[in-house]
Amino acid sequence: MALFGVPFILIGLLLITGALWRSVAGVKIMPPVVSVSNPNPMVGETIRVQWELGFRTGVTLQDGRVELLFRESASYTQGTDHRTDTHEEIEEFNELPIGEMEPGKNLQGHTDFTIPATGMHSFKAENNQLAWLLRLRVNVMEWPDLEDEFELDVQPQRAWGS
Amino acid sequence: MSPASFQIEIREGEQEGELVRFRPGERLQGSVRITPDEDLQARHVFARLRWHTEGRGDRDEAVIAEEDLYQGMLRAGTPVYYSFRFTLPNGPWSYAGHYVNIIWEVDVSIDLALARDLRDQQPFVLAPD
Repeated sequence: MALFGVPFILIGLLLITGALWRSVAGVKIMPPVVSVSNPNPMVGETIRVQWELGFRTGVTLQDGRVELLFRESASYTQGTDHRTDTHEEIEEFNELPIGEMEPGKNLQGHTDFTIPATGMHSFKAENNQLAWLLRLRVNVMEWPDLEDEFELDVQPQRAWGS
Repeated sequence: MSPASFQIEIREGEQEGELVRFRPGERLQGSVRITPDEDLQARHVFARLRWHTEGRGDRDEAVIAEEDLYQGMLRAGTPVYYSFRFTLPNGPWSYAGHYVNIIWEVDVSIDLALARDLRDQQPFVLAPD
């Protein structure tokens, strides 16, 4: 389809959850690289997600997924506390290969996800957000898990026939 | 007891439950009938196109467009009618979720000097096919 003919936008996202992960998980796994065919899709549009994981040392992957999820975030003040509650729905996911990975090996693949045609677009206000996310989760034996996210900016338009 | 009653009518649109639905980019037209129970010196009578959130989070809101319908005296017992017309934006779409709801409405208010504004709202749905 023409959609996939569009040159991939190299987002080259280094999905790193934070300093802790950088210092611990990063010892064995290189920062994942994720690129998507369109980071600003319309509602109903299908996007192609490419991902790549590199391994500095030998590891055993017990479980891994790439997920498309929709998250509601609501922030509110309760007394002197400022709290945020979230609700997530995983719309689609794709399992990653598991097993033993050799040092220097790269694990890569792609999957197609569709923003549901009856879904909502992204929305950001001060206290309330609706977000579409790609989440990469890898469960490594005897090592901190890797989990990181990339946010899509889904446009308030419907894609018909995609 | 409010010193004025409002009847906001939104014309056209497609009936969706108790509300009418409009598509993004469409024109919304309507009218308001205001019947004061006492003489009111209105600094302004505004019609506003706006959305707000409801749900778990603190309220977010935005006024997208505003029409100044009238400035002057509203006489007790004399109904007055004003029409309004707005072009709807692309979003945000109306939404009903787990923690977040997005509500669109036409808000009509009478801006009074040294008194709380009098107001009423008529919600509607903004969503594409």
